[in-house]
Amino acid sequence: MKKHTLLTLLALFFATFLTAQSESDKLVGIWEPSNGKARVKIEKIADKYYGKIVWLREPIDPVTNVPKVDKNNPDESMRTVPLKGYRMLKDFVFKGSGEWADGTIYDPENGSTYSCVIKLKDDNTLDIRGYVGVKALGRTDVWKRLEAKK
Amino acid sequence: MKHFFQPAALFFLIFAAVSCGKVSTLEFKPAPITLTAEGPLFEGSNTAQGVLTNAELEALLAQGGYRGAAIKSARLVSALLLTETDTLTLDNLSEITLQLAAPEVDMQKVAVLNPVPVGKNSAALQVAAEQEKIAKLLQQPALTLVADVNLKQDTEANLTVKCQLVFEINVKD
Repeated sequence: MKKHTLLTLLALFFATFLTAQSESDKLVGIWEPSNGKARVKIEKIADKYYGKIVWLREPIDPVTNVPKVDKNNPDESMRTVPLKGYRMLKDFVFKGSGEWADGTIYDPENGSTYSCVIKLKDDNTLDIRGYVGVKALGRTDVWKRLEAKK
Repeated sequence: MKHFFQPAALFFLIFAAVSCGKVSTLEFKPAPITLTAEGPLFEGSNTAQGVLTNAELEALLAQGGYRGAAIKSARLVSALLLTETDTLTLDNLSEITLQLAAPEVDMQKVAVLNPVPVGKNSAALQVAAEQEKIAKLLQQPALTLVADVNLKQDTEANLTVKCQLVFEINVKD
């Protein structure tokens, strides 16, 4: 009887663990912001989630005629970092209930970094809220998964 | 009143003695870190990763009679990208950005090379002028070296490169 109870508890533990794991990894994939200018691949590195630009609608800078770089970075030494491959989402931690927080989002168009929280609205839609200081004073963008999960 | 000032004076003396410790600068040059991305890989953005454990730094600090907690500040002073063997070149890479990450510390962008020179089997990256939290990163049990690499063309093979990092560490006696 005791052995049976122990096995049931172990099975329950692993089932809970695997469910939590798969829920947190729902963020992983390729996503497109509402303006359609870029596609961002979100992946898991060292237990946190990071997103990098993998595609740009206009990859070439019309002024310099070479691939776009992070020309607005406040650190001048990093202004040659290419935008293709740029990590614009950093250090997100899964908080449960379809929410990832404690991370930042970088806007290459003005070189600013904002606090950010990500909410999974459904399997193929994210609410990305960037803010400064208070969450209420921010802006939310809706991102769509590139290959929709059915 | 006297009872209040005595512990306060003692605390001040201890604080002054601790904060006036001599600061020494050490060069930390771990063995080259292998960065790998599993193939097949496609043209464009890919990520190669490698791990640096704190064993080598602990050995260096122990050799000098320091403990890990004595690190006051640190910065990356150079980063050299190397091919796995001398006969290979870095020709399939167009650009590379290097970052350090750990579960308890925010990811730090530390170096970039754009463009990667053609026909070479090694190349020095430009190190970031602004570096934060490098000391905290080095005090983690392990840190992940994340290389975002843009490839010029698809490849069936794994991507393997090495990275030689050199840090300057200020430690307090």
